[in-house]
Amino acid sequence: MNNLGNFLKKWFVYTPSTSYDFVLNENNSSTNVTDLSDSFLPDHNIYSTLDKNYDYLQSQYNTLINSDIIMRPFKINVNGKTYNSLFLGIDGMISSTLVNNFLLRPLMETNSSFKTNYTKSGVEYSKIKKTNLENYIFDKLIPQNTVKKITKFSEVSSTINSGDCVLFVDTLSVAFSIDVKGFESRSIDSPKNEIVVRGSQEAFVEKLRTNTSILRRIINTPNLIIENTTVGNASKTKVAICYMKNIANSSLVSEVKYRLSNLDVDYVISSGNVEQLIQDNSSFAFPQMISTERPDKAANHLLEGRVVILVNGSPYSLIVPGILIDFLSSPEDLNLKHQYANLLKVIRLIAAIMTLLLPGLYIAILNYHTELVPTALLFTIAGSRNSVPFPVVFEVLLMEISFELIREAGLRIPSPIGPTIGIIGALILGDAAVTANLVSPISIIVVAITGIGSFAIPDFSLNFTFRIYKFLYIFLGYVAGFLGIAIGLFTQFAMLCSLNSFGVSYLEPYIPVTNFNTSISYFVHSIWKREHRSDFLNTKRPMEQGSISRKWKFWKSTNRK
Amino acid sequence: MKDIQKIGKIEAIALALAIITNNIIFNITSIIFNSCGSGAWLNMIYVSILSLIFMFVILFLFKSFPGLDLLDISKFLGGKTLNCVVSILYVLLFMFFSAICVRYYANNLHLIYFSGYSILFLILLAFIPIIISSKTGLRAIYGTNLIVIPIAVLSIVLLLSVSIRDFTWQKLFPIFGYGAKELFINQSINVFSFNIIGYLYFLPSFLKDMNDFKKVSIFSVILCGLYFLLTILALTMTFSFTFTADESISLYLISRLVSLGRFFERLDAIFIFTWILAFLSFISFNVYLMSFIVKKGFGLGDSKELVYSISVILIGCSLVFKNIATLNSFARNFYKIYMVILVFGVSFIITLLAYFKKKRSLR
Repeated sequence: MNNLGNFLKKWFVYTPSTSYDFVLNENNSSTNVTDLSDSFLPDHNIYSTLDKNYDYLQSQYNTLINSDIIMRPFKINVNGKTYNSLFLGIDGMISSTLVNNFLLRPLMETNSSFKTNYTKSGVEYSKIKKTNLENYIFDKLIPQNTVKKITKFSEVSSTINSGDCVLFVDTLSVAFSIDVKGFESRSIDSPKNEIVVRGSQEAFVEKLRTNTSILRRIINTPNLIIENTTVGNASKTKVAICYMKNIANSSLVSEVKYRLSNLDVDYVISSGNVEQLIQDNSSFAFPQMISTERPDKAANHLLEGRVVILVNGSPYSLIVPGILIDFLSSPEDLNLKHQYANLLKVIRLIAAIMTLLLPGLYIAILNYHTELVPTALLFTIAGSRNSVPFPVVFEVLLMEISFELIREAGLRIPSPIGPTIGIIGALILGDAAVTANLVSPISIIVVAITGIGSFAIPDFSLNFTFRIYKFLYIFLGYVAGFLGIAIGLFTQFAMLCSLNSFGVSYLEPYIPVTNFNTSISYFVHSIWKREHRSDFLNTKRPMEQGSISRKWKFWKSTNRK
Repeated sequence: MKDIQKIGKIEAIALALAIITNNIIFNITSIIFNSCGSGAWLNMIYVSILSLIFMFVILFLFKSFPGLDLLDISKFLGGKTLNCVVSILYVLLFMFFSAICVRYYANNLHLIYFSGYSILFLILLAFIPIIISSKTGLRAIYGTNLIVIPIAVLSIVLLLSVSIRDFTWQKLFPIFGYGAKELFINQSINVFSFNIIGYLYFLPSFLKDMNDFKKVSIFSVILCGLYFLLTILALTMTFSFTFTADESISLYLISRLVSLGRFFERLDAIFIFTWILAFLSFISFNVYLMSFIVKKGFGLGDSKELVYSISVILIGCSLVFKNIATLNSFARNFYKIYMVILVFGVSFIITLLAYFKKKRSLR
């Protein structure tokens, strides 16, 4: 009875919409690209007062929210005097053993004295040798092979971002850059699913801190913020939210934090879990966040103004917001000249359309619109289907399901024989099916082209989505030919147009129409033409290059030295 | 549809193109061709100039009401009562035109491809995406429109350019068709083909930047005139003026003549495919617009649920016609006159009176 009441209420009683709509705030700041240098590389001299240095570093590195910055104050004793000191490094990039045993221990345990006692005329005197504290620390207290004195904060920044640490001592206007690198290197494997020819061969690993250190190494600036949070009441899984403080839209960052901190789940074990928990529309199969195992891709998106989410235990990062064209782009596109990249993009677009529509169109044409097929070809198709007792939709479905079966089986069986099963399965099954008059050769060609097309889609999730919708179009093509396909396409367009990913329309920058002359559009421009960051991200820094980025080309010969 | 989302210049022009394209697909040009014979193209130029002049006058009057649409203006002039009356009149106008299009669509598909399916089934099938799209909101409508309309426009341009080889220039004569008086006096009622002006009255409510209103309006009217002129020229030079395309879409008849070499001998299915997309986009916008007008005219809080009722009424209206003959008769004898009186008469008088009222109040 209660159910009936609810049903009637749902259909006949008006209830106002309660959907949660997040919209990105527009940033009105239009920072000139020339002040890039000021913000990215602080160029102040190091102060002689430690407190000042401490405050400066705290604000520069946002230590209240940045989770991986280590600032360790301690004291050293030199010549009976105690000096306040500060150790600065990045967790995950420095070796704790090196720091503890060969830096902090000698500094904290040594109680140096320059007092020399001597007796003159029976009276004992003490003489204190004058010494230079800076030289003494450099020469005696830091037993490392690579130590450098630095005087500017810009040097501090690049030092710690490369995995070294910095020692500040009160009264000294220099700091010591000490080599204590300890980050993971080549145990980091090459990407398994996002293979490129000319790009980096590094992939994220399961350890969160290693992943943050990789990002730090690529983006050599203190403006990269890495905030930690935990998700899962039981698992307390560490999740890092990474963004560029001076680029990313603040409301986007806040939204990511808001969603992550409002999850009431017992556990999350991978970034895939987090993705499903925080995406805008879970009833829609299209991926709404970019999932990548490539640090260079994540870094690129960070510098565009997006937010990267790293989950401890997962080698895949999530990038938000994600728009449709991201899923049709390969990381290789940015490494190639725009002519090559655009050719590949055209091919990928054709592949995506074929994956989605080809079987449906084939059925629609053979069932309703045979006049479209040239007469000679129509005779060939009719001839090949002459001995097949099934309708064309049955043939296509049979082959599509067999293809999916082979694909799934190929993934499950051990890797040495996986590809063999795929090839043998496809060849033998296809040939046998044609010989047994179960399917026509033309249907095999259609299904094979569809399958190959699906492999050309760079994103795994989008590939899945298209494979699911392909079956819908097969049904629509069978029921109502081109009319059915038009209805399916129109509905899909309407739903895609209404889809949002973290306040950004899924079909940006085309719907709504925004500035095409940005780094993000389906077809890429020459690298020197990508002057603007994407309009739809509403970043704090709209320009990513100067209006003339290749200054060398336009300098007058008189200006050349 | 929680909030009215605003659209830019490009989106507005795309919506205008959707309206124009559907006017062409659903035989508005054929009505003009049949009424003016070989002089249809001359009549088209004439009514285009009339419509453009009218549009300039309307834009001048609207200048005094920045950001306001016809409903706001009627409210300013005659209070809530006039607002409600204008809402009803415009909902009826859009309902009539949508019903004509829906029935034309269903009958033609039934005739060409789906003789095994009932007309009701074809209409219901089309209303699934229409309801989804118009319920989702303006962004979905103008978004799909931006994807679909360039394809449909391209298909018509391609169709017209490919059919050039079937043109017979002599068919343009006699140049005045059934006579100059018939062409320029009696058939000046063909301004009804510029029903886009009826939609433009509501554009200010949807535009992001009001400065675009003038540009979009003038551009749309010129585009509409050009597009109609090309189609009428193609019709005139392809078919004899005694020919009537009452039963079927006239453009479809042209598309059946198109062949590209030996490989593409019959491409009409592809054209129909693009026109179905354009039709769905247009009807979605109409349903959305009608629910918007009802909401604004009657001061409702939310128009989302209205989409269902308007769609049901629209389906009912399209099924009222017994056959294409009654549909044609309705379009020629009632819709044509109703449209001209409402868009070029009533709306103009309301805007003019409101303009004087505003002037007087400013004094």
